Amino acid sequence: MDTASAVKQYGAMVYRMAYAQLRSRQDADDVFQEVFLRYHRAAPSFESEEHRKAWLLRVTANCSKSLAASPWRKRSVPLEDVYAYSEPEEFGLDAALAQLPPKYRAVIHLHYYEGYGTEETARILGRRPSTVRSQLTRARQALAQLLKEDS
Amino acid sequence: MNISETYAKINEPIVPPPGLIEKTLAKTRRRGFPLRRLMATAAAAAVLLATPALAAQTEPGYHLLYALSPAAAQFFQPVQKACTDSGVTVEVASVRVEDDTAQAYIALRGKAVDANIDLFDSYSFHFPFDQTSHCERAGFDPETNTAFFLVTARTMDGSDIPLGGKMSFSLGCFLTGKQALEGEEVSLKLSDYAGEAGTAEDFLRTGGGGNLELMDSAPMLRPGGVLAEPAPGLTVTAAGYADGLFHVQLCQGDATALDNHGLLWLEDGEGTRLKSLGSVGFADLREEGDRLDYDEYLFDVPPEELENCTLHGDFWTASARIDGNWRITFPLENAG
Repeated sequence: MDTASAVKQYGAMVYRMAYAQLRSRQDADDVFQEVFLRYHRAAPSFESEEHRKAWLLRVTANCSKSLAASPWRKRSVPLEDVYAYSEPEEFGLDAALAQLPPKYRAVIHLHYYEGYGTEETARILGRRPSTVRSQLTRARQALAQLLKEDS
Repeated sequence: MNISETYAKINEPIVPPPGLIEKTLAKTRRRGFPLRRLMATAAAAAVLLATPALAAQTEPGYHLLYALSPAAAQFFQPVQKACTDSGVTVEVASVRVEDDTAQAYIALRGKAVDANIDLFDSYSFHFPFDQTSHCERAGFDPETNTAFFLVTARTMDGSDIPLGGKMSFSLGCFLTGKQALEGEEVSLKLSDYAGEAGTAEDFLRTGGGGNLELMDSAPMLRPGGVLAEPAPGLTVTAAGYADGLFHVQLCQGDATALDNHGLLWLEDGEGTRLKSLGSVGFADLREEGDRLDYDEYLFDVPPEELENCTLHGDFWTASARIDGNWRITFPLENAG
């Protein structure tokens, strides 16, 4: 699959994964470009579409992590750089997610949005399955607490 | 709220803007090596080559450089095959490189090291290339008190491991004295706690498992003295009824320090297991630096049946956490 087709098929997936971790459109833009430039340069071969998807998510997670650790990254995010929600439930969940550490948000995103199980999530994020299990539990607990406080 | 549905909704508008897609594809269509990029690369190389100390000698400099260029950061890392802190030596024992895979055996040697050592997710790797990697416990030599871990890394794109690269392995702490006690009976006469118990309000609710409604609303029993100690570092600190359910409170000490935890259930006279409806986590953070965590298990069992029930559990504990700052760097070439 050439880069244009990969962008068409997986662009939204990559962008959402990056935004889930970084919560900034500008940062998600940077990661999006970096991921597909790497895809273009590496031109990797995949055993299956599932393998290609996992590779893209893995690279997205890595690039997001690197960008988050970059000393040049802006620590404050302008309001227009984040997505806003008007429905109370969506607003509440988004606000609660904003308070979670990025590593928890990555696990939440892969589990709740991409539908991955613990083992697959662990492979994509390069973490141990037991770590992912405990991070998912802690993330759920923290979300439950934050949503309760919000309500 | 259904988190899956709401999360799907909030993701709907998150899509790459058309301009971004065009810009990205335009970059991939570029041929050759643009002069401006060539000049920028040359300038960066000049700076990096002129100031290797930035990467090699200071921690912030290393991380800055690694964020910019993992290959350059690793190039300037001095080889240090062993590192000692807190009485424990971390050392590379052997390295094997083949095709797209690099493997290194890392040895941890010292009095505090034991066969069940747990790196407590405090380790990290740095490689000069994009990779997927993991670390697993490989063995223990009781004669020298040495634990071995195997680190395996594969290049992301399946290409061969680049020649001349170096790998760094860092570690911040580890747990020792880990043990698992499974299916243990807890020495507690449950019928002594068949009455209503006092509850507490001033604890932080940290979550729980099982029934989500209970997790949010169930009261917490007021912790008392030690009623039983099913495993070192894990104590039963309260039991009794509140809101019609039988509660058993397990104190974990500071769960963030040693990760001590357990799972409780009841068994009737015939050995049939009665699972809890769920557990609720609480933390006492009132004393700064002196955290106490509790897991409270809730059972739907009438008081008159407690006479025939016994308390059981699985328990996982550690006796100590050793903190330190270990980092080793070694060439990725067949050795050892």
